[in-house]
Amino acid sequence: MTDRNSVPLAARTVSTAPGGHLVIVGAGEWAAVAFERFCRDSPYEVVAFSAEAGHLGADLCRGLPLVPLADLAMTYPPGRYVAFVAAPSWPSQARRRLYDIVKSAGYACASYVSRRVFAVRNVQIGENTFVHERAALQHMVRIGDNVIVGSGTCIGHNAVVADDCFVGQRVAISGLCRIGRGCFLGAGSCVDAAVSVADGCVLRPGTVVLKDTKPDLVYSGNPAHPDVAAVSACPR
Amino acid sequence: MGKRLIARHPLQAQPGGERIIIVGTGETAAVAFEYFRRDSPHEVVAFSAEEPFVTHRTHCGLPVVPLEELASVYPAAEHGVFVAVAFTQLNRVRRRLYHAVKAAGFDCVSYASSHAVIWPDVKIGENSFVQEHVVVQHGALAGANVFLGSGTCLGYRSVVEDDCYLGAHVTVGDRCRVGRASFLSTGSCIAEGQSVAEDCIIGAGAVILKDTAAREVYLGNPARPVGRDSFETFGVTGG
Repeated sequence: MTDRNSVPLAARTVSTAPGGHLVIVGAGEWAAVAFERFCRDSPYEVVAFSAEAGHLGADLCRGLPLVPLADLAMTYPPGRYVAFVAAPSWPSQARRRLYDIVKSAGYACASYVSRRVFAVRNVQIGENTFVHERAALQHMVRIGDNVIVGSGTCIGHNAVVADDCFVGQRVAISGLCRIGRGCFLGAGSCVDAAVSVADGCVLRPGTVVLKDTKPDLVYSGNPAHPDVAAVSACPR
Repeated sequence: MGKRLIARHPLQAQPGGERIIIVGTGETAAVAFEYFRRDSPHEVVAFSAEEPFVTHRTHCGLPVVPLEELASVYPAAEHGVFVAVAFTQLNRVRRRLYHAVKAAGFDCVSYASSHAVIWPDVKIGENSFVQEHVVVQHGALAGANVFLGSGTCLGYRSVVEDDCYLGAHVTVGDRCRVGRASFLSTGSCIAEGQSVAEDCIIGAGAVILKDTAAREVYLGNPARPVGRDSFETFGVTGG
């Protein structure tokens, strides 16, 4: 017999994370989703929310203190609290911008991986990354910082998903693929084996990519073709 | 542990394991090694490859033995084999090596992930590999030497013949037939009741709405033959 019981193939990343007190940066829809998941399915305890001055509106969010981002380090110092940035990446790259602010303030950022994810033990997942239930992360997959992976998505062996990507629900990324920085992969899209999606691309839902893409273009259709729309004008 | 709603397939509940040798030393073999090691009752003891392809003495920390000498080093009566090769030459290399190890007297083992849902009455042949999140419904049949990638679904009473390779997120509808040695790439879909003939290549995301012809390459939605020979496309030598 092998060590199948003591060292299972799939690691429950979230259950092995150290946990601690967590501040969610953001107070909108994304923050609500993150709050729910971190509370019910992670070792972290959410203690507060934080937002920039223009997005405050109230002193409380979901019964917890809502602190101006500028004052966060005073109230919840980085050495004792971890952060999770839950903000949309469109239209203003808010998620990346807030992540940079939080990192330069000295915070470590938490990642969330649903306990219903299949993740092989040698998978690497960066900071401030969020992986929904039923995703499959195969042998040697590497996922960067600030990435969102939707429910039911498969990322094939040795594939790389770079920082700041959004990968929607039930996306199929084949083995050996590379997804560049800041890409958006719409629900149900599909990337053929060993294909590279260049930095800053948008794949509309259901797009099937059979060969390498050029950077900063919108693709749609099966097989994928570049769309006339500019990436900046593409709601996501 | 919560109560399972669906009984386990016999492949997922094997009582005792075997000592096995993985034939292949590429990326697919490294992936198979992880799955067997962590999620099967079997113990991988060595790798093997045909003499000209033995480039290193070890792979993943285990010895690599030339295939020609395998039975003399690891007796066939005491060892199982898994041939871990992808769809090279339209599954011809995997098929050839599978027959070579069978001829040397070995039995081949199959693997089914503990994270797959496989109806207990499903028949799966030797040397097949079923990854996580695969769903195989009631009455479906998979032959020998078949690979089913992550999240793939075989509808009820569907048949996947020997030597086929189905990538991730492939959907095979109810009562479909997938002919011998065909390759269905990532995210492709076979509408229910349709047949894919032998030796077809179905491109990534292609949607098959009617029966296909043998040895053709299909792309797009709805899928169309692109007029290329599948043997030529995948460099099959020797048929």
